[in-house]
Amino acid sequence: MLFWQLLLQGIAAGAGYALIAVGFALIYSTTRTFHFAHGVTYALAAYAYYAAVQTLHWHPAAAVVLAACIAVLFGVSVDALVYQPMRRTAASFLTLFAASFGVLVVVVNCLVLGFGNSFYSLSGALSRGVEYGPFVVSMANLTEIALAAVLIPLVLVVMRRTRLGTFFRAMADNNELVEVFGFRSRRYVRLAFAIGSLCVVPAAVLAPYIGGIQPGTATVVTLIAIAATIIGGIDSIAGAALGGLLLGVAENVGIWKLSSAWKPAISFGILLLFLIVRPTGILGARGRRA
Amino acid sequence: MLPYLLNLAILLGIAVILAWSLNVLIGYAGIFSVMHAVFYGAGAYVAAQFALHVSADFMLSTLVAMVFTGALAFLVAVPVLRVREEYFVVAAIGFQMVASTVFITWEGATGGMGGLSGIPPAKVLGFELISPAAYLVLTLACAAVCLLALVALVRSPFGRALKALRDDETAAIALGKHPVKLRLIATTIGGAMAAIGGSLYAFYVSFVNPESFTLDYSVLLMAMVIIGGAGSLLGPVLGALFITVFPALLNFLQVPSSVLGPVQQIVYGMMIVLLMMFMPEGLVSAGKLLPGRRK
Amino acid sequence: MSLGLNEVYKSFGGNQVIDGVTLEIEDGKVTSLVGPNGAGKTTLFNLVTGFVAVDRGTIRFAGRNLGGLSPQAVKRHGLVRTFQNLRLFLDMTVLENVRVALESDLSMNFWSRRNLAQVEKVLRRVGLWEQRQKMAGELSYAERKFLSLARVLATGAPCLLLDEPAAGLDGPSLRLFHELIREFKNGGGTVLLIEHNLDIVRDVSDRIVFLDKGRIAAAGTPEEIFSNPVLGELYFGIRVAAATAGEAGNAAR
Repeated sequence: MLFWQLLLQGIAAGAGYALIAVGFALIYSTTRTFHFAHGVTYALAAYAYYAAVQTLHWHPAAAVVLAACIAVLFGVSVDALVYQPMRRTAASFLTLFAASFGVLVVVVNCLVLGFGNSFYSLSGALSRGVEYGPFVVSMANLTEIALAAVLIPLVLVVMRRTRLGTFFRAMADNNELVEVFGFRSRRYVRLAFAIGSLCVVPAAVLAPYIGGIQPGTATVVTLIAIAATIIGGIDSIAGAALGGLLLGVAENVGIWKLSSAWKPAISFGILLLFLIVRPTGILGARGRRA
Repeated sequence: MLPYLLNLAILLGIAVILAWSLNVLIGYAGIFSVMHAVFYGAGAYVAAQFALHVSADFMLSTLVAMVFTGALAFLVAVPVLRVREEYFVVAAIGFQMVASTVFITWEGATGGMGGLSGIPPAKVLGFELISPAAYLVLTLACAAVCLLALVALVRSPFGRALKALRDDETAAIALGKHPVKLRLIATTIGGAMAAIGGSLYAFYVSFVNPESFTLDYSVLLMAMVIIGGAGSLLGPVLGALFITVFPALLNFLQVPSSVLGPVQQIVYGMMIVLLMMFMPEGLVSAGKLLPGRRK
Repeated sequence: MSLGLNEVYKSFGGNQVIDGVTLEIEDGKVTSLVGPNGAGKTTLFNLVTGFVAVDRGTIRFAGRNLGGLSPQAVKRHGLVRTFQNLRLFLDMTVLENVRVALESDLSMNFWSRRNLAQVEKVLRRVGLWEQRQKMAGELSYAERKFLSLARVLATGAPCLLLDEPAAGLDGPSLRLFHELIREFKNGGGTVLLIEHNLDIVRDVSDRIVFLDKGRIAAAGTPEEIFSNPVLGELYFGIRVAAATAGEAGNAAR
């Protein structure tokens, strides 16, 4: 009984992780940037939504728009202000990663200064539970699952069927080649960051209704997004979504038998297992050397 | 004032040893390890247990801690080093998270959340070290030993092979170097050296618990190496100095303690970002001001 | 001790880059591999030195099968290579670059007199001893080419695979290069050379092999190759009549 309840919660959490991971995977596969600050996008969007609804008393829809704008703005700005200048100096992967990490640390701590370390949550229609027979699920959880179920396939369709998607896939295959052919890849890099950052917004605005938000979640979320992406297969967006779902379920079902102290270890344990046994991930095919 | 400074000096000494040990991975072997606090912790716990149950002799405890931690580093590295660069970073973080959980849950070995307390004072050549001054001398002695080891390493064929590997891996392979083997050995050495720091810490504070060995501390150690400058002997010292002394400075300037933590982190974060953008070689390259060369 | 390839095939993503190459590189001789860009010359090097695995066929050296060996193992068996883009250790000194080539990476032997003597000998021979403390990144183009050569010479390996070692070298440098190759050959060493400069090819080679589209199109001594009007036209775009006069002039240099 508890198992099914946890499974349901796991799917909901997994839906959120999947969205965030898809954003990360999109950015990584097209621009080869390890956007470690991706979790910050999530946190900023969540806090923006929270502040708009709670403090400024905006209508949730307007707050969502605000959160989306902030997410996109942040993602694109970090790329323009930090990553792009570094790409020009041919900075190594690790240097870029360290810078990304630095951004994460700075913004998370600014959030701590601004909002403090405690969890903020919202209550409203979305946080109310809904009963389905013996199970209780919150509306927010259901919404998250629904949104993920709609948006992730949408992203995949865009990748497969649209001109933009084709271009993204070409970039994923060979970034230098694309530049040689004279396309303005700069513009598409910006788009990748914009769309990738947008992906986190549904999860971010629902977070205050589900577990509450806290600056530290930015780090955890980034790590899970990366873990999900790797587990799913680093070049596969569908894989990232699958990985996110898997981790969400594993984390929640895992504490059925293990104490909750193990929760963070579960995701990483799975990640380590994959890295050792199947580094190409679930849907990954190429073990390409950087 | 003096006890305060002595304490700071000892902690600085331990930080330098840890930063040097991490530098073997980051700076010499090119392994971006964000899990170094695990080796620090393992060293501390093993030394503590040894002191509590066998002997408080410092050299013996430290030796045992080094062997254990070196072996641990080796075992972790074997599967993890096989993965690509990008994955390694994440794998390291993942391993740190798992290890933190183990530190908390494995009550038998680590005393769980409460940790291990009542660690007897260190004994060196029969003498019990009680005063902070004595621990400072011990710390400096250990740091000197580590420095000698590092100098020897850098000047050895092994050190040169590592440098070649960092410079151009393909050429190094063509000239017969084995990247995985070299990195495994470097990781083992780095882990063993971290255990020295762990042992010093355990004896000095006479108490160890999981809170000192978290991801946050791993990140701090990484920051020391990066800010100071990886790949040099002076860099980690500068980085350790900066990161250990800076909070003390903020304290002095009477920054409110609720704000202290975040402000520190913001400064470190900004420094990392700015350095990576404009001076990737770290503070130690301030004299050169060269643009960062591609790895 | 000869190097032999037998029915070697290699394709990359549908492209048959090496299409059935059977080749015997004679011991103690210099063989040049020539051909248009994309003919597969560097791929052949990669196959022989273990950077890339063959799809089909065997590669043998000194009686041993090199198939499946790692580049490090291939070096242990006596073959070393240079790279077209040199791949020097730019952040290391000239001395360190050569030391690294000779040393075993696990040795804690800091100060092997024998190693250092060997390094000095090679560096003096290529004329880089005076610059031994200079960073490789600070060397001139010709100096870098010689450092690349010094690295492989220092290893003492009996078989060298050189990828465009003389490209861009002029007059005195070219002469030094010829001397070094001749000395190496006279000492019993084997050289397989990729080169585009025809003068170099003609002056230094004992044998020339043409590779085109992954296959050996022609092979022979320089005299045979250069006096063949068909090959001359096809591969060098020279008209034989004018060439004879030109070659006479070049040979006199």
